[in-house]
Amino acid sequence: MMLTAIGTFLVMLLVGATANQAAQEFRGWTPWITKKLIERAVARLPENMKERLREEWTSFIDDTPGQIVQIVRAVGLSRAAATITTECTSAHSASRLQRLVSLLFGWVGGLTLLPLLLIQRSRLLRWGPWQWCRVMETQNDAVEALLKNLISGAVVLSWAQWQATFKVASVLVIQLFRQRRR
Amino acid sequence: MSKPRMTAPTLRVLNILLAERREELSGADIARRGYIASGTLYPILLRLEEAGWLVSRWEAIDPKEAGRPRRRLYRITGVGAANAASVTNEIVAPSGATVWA
Repeated sequence: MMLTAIGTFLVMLLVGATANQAAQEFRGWTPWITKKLIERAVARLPENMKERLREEWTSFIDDTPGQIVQIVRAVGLSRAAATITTECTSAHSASRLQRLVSLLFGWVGGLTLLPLLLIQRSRLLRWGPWQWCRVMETQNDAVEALLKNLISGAVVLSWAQWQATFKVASVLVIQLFRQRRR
Repeated sequence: MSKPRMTAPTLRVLNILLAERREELSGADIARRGYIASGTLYPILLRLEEAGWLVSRWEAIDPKEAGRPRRRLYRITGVGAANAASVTNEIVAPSGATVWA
């Protein structure tokens, strides 16, 4: 009986001493663990955000009371980094898609109109712009002359202007597509 | 600048910053006041900042002198305050009940 009591006392003493030692060890390791967790989270971030969030998150963990809570929050930062990266990547890929479609529209639109542009250009070079307008005006139907003038004016728009027009159209198409998806 | 996604934690962040409109709060302050997990908080802060609803700046201290890293301080903007108020009005029914669905 006596031996059991002494044994229990010794075991409790040992557990107490070990727990205290473990707590001290844990306290000593916490800054290292949190630093590693922050670095791991920062490594997942886009390049342009790493510096800012490294410092911000270090101060965030520094301001958090309690070492276990610090570790829990540092673990959570990995999730934050993953979300931020996903959002940045999807925004980036959306803008890439927009650029691609806009480029496609610009070139297809421009190439379709290229023959018309070339014909008009050769006419203008041959007759000059004022002569071309006079040719139009000599026609009997005033409305037809006006329309032809307008069309020729539109066709004479430069290559860059046509591309810009088609780019604007492509942006509108993408916006319409996104609204429908929502 | 698009309208940020409205979730319960986003509203909590906005309400905290709206309540302390004249103060600048760090991420840790907001997390403490709103009981928001770090994994949720930072994407929200960045989203709101990108939308122009919040502005942030570094705390004006020298980390070497202070012996701690600088805090990033957040403040709600006029646009953010107006939008936060309108969103709160939208989701709170006249009876005072919150309508999420």
